[in-house]
Amino acid sequence: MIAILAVTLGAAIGAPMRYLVDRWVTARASGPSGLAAFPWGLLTVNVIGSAIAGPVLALTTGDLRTFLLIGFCGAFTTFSGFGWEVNRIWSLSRPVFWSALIVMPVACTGAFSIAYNMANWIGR
Amino acid sequence: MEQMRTLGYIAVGGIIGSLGRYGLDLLVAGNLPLEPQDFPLSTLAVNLIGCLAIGILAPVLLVRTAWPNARPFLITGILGGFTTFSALAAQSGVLLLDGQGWRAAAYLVATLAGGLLAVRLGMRISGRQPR
Repeated sequence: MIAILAVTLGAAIGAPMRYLVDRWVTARASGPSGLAAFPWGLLTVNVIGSAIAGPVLALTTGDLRTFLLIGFCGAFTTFSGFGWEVNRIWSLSRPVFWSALIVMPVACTGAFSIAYNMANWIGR
Repeated sequence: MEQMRTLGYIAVGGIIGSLGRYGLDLLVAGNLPLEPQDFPLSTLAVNLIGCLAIGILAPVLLVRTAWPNARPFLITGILGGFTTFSALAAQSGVLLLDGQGWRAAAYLVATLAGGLLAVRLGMRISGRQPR
């Protein structure tokens, strides 16, 4: 029961924050062509959310982990938005499509792994 | 004021989507699959279903604007909260750090390729050709 409240609270913070950060970055970095077509806003939220998941997984348990990991990080990051954006970019620019498809998972997995290892090392 | 209303719709949608994802995690895996021996089937399912849904919904909502908060609520909120990139990164990272690089790569490729195809399939279902 507390776990459901933890997910609810985390998502209520994470989802609007994703919208605000994505919009803030997109307004400054994005445009119709070239490197500006890259989904910088989505890269920002997904990398930040993945990096936060590192120390959360390394250092927390129980309801606090559920709140931060499943609630906040889960709602702050998005995969459907990424799938939609890269499909849209396909018709704009093939180089940007392929770089987005490769950079996003590599950056997010890398950010998580580095943050997870650092948190484990500090928490030891 | 209008901005606050939109943020409210995104928050409520995000809660609905996230609880759906959490429910599926509990249903499929018994818990969130974050150990290297688990295959993250529920997260894979969540992300593919979310991509299919955005492929169906987004083209429709781009045209009809009768309810301006439909897109923030349904797509940014529900689908954004339902799907996740942090769990994907955490699961592939845990596999990678456990020395299971090929499994991590297979999981990432399955999610990315499956997600792209699911969006295309969704767009076809909604009757709009990919531009």
